[in-house]
Amino acid sequence: MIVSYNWLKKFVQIDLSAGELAKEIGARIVEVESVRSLAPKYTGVRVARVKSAEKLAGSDHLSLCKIDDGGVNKQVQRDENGLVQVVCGAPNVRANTNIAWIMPGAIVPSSFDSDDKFKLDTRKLMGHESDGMIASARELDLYDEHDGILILDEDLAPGSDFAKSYELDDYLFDIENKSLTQRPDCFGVIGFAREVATILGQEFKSPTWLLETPRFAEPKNLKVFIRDDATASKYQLAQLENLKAVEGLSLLEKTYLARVGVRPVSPIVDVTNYLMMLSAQPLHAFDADKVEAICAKQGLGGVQVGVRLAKQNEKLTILDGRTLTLDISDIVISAGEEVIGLAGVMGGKNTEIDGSTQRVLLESASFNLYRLRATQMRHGIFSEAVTRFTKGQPASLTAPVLAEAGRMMLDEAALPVATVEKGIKNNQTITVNYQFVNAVLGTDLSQAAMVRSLTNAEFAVESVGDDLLVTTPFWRTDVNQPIEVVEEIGRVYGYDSIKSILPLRTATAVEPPRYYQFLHRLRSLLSAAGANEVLTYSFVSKDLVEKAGQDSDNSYKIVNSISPELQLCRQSLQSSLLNLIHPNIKAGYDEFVLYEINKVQQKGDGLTDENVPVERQNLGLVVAKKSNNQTAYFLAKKYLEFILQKLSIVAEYTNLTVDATSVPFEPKRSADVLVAGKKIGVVGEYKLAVYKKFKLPKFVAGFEIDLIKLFELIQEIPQSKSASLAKFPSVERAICFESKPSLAFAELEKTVRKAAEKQGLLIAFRPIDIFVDDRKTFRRTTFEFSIASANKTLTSDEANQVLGQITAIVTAELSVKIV
Amino acid sequence: MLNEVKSELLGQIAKSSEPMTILKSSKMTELYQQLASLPKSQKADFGRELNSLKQALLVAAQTRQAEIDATEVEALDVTAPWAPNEIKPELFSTELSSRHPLTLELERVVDIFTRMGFEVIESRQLDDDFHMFESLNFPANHPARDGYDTFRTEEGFIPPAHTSTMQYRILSAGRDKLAKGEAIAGVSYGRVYRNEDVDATHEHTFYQSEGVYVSETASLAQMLGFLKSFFESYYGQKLKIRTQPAYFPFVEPGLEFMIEKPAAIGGKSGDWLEVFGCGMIHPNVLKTAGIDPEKYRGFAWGGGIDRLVMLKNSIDDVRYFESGKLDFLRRMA
Repeated sequence: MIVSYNWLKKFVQIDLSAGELAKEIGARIVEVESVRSLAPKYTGVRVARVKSAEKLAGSDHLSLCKIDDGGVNKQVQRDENGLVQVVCGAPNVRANTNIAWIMPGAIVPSSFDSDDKFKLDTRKLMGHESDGMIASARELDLYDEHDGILILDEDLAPGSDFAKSYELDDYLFDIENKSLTQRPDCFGVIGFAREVATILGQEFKSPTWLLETPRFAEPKNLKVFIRDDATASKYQLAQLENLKAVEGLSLLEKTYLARVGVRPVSPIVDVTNYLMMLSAQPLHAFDADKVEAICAKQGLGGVQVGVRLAKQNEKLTILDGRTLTLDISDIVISAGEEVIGLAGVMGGKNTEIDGSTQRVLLESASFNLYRLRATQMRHGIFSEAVTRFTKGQPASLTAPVLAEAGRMMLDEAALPVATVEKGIKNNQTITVNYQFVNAVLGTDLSQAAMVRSLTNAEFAVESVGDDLLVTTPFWRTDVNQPIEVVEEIGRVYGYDSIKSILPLRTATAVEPPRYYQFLHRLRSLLSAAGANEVLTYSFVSKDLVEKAGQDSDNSYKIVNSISPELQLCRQSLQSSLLNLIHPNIKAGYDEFVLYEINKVQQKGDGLTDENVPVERQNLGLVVAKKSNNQTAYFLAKKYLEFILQKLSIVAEYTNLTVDATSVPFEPKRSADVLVAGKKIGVVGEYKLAVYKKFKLPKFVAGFEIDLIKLFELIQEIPQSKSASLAKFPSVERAICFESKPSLAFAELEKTVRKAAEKQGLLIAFRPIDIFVDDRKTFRRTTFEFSIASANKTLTSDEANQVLGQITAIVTAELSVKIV
Repeated sequence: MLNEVKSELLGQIAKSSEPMTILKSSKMTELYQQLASLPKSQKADFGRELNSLKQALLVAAQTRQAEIDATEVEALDVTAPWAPNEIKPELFSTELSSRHPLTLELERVVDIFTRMGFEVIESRQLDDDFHMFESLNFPANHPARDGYDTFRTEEGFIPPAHTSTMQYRILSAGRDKLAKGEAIAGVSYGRVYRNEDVDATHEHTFYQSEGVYVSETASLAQMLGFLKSFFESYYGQKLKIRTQPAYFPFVEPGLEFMIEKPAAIGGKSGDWLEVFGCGMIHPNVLKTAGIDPEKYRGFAWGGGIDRLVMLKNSIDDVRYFESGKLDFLRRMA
């Protein structure tokens, strides 16, 4: 929203510069996004008087004009009468009018803000010298009107500064609308000026017309209605019978409309727009004859116009030419049963004002803001009017603005007006304890200071003991509770004037939650192991989900996604990670480990107690090497084992079971990861199709772990790690077991462990070599043992004996031999 | 009926050489047609059963497909520490590692708040209208919703547009503490989403952190003190602060909190950084969470983390964060 500094000054005494005022507004009303000075645009523009304008022979549109600039320009050539010669192409240039002259050397205002500035000079047109330009409204960057030059007011002296004459030595504040969502009043200059007065400590007086209750004449042959609840609280229609007599805005007023972004159109529309900009109350004009014809066609005796909800599949062509199919919750304006407007949003084409309009019905109403907002979103219409209506303009505003419209248009406030009301909320009185205000703000303001601050903004306040009885003015629809009075007082006082303090708290140590520490630990471990943490989008394409072999119907689907690339919520992290491998290899990275810790959702997981989707938090990891003949699975597993070992967790690896997370993995080369018998995830290589689709090199593997499950298990598993070191020297021995290659390593290891545990000694062992012959007939698995006693130094013989017992047990239980 | 189809199709899948095609069997099409014609009362149950049938068939088909594919795949001993005749796999060097700057910074933010006595909870990534809007005093169709540009799923779930989606949960979980005479002090952090066009300074996916504090004596002066103290700890220096009024339906009064941009991140005197939206928690929000607003007051704040990280690390394009590019990542800590 644009707010003009000069327009504010018409309502409030401002001694601050525009920059200073912007700072105050920013601190105590709303963010000012920018301040633009208009004056520089008009430095080379003067008021001048056309003394003569002669059609140039040989041209169908050019006129040779002599203008009087009051002698202000010292550079230009003048004729014997001291006049300047300008060739002008406008059809409406004529002698004895005041015009805006852009002097040679000046930049045409409409090009001032562009990169391609148009600088005027003296040039020859059809053999005649022409100095500068007589400007149109468009060239002056006021509004889009190019049919001719702008004719200025008669009473201006030639040579006057154009910008000063039209108060264009102005500053425009670009206001952040969003922060005024709750303030319908601030969308009009008067309301904004009231705020400015209040923060400057001045008592604001609204124009009397805004506060009075106007008396209207009886309407003729006109009835208005509000049919459905929650559509409108007040609906008024004024009859303007003699449109020809309507006075439009002065040029000065038009420039005010123009600078805040509204284009002047016609006398009646300009006045309604001007009043909307002043008061924030939108008005709409219907062609009265067209409305009457619509009513007559339905056989109604007289004109009946009102507010109702749209009917199923009802259609309306609106002013911008679009035909809308209305929703049953849209509010419409209806003449009899025929819809003639989308309430508060845009009028219908069927009752549009045009060149032949003689009589007008002028609407001033208060509509249900929630419905209007839904309508605005549904049909995608963003007009100045609906922007204001969706802030909730109060019912009490409609009549004063309508009366003022009558005054401005016809010098007649007592227009014939039909009125209907439904469920109007009245002003309310709120009781606030002044000490409560101080307690919430952390201030020490006096009761009197609070009263002053509120009354400056036209609240009616009565002090009773420590209580303030605050009666809100009708335009403050945002103030309904004590806390909102606190806001008003605190904001005007200035939050920056409040001295900040820290609350006292007990001196108990606070520890981050264990789960949070667990996540931190995982990241630290992965950093130690040379892995790179990534974050990828939660939303993925259907293609990506399906590339990984997942069922896209198991993904929550975004209905208003930015693109098909971001349509589905991912079910696991794997496909996002796999998708990063090819581009990083192409970027020159030959080997890397990527991981992400993030949330995923699967529809199949159902909903929580709160009826929101169950979320998993996974750790996904991939290892990749551009060219390597080793088996990738074991590096992925190594990473997993590394983490688990540091967390003192022992995992088992069993046959892959298929679910949405494991589906990209190849069952023959992947495993379920079990902790305490419960599946926490999957580790492995991928299906051949996955390698192809993601353009992966051969050496790629990964894992995905459900961290919430893992964390829960960690809490359950007793942490019994013995750290007692052997006090006597150990004996080292290696043993090689030969078996069929199909014997699972874990089976062998488990059997060895059991056998070792039976010995009652401190025995540690680890694999050091695994060999399979060329024809894959046997496997030789070599373990290195470290054997010690808690009580004495073992002799070599004793150690060999122990090993003999272990091998005896193992060979008895498994089909293996010692080699 | 469903069971018959199930056993028949499972049988077909087990023998098929192209198991995925069986998912498109005319039997399934017929069932979906049948679903469409059912009365509303039976639709939900039948739909659920049909969906679980579809899932079962899919799993079976994928398993069968894997079996077929696997004929050319050699099985591994997944229990082994490395493959026979290969060298032992080694972890990469720590030198190559990198932490994502966003998660690293969030840890720092959370750490400071933890030390200030706040409990921590990660924000949800798929939530509902109640938590995202309603419980925060945004009635349906409230115009203030416009500012959030939320995504929605078919079911009406919302990937949250702010971490305030956790506020109701923190508040209602903290009622016990209030009863014991303690304050509620909670921080949430995490990923949020807005339907925005992406460019160097705008992302549809970004990170926020958020805090709430409720006690019998909470005040706006305390809030300013908390936030100032947080940022002074974060930047390791004294800071000037400034505010401007702002409107968020879940706080009243509502403010934007600004700090003078520290020299460490290229700030000059008079440069201000909008860092957090904040304010006193609206009584309606407390009431919804079952806290008596006559007795207790609170304040809340929240803001984006990405921009702080960009300033700190001189990152000029927000899109790097989710790019997964090692070019970017390996330059980080």
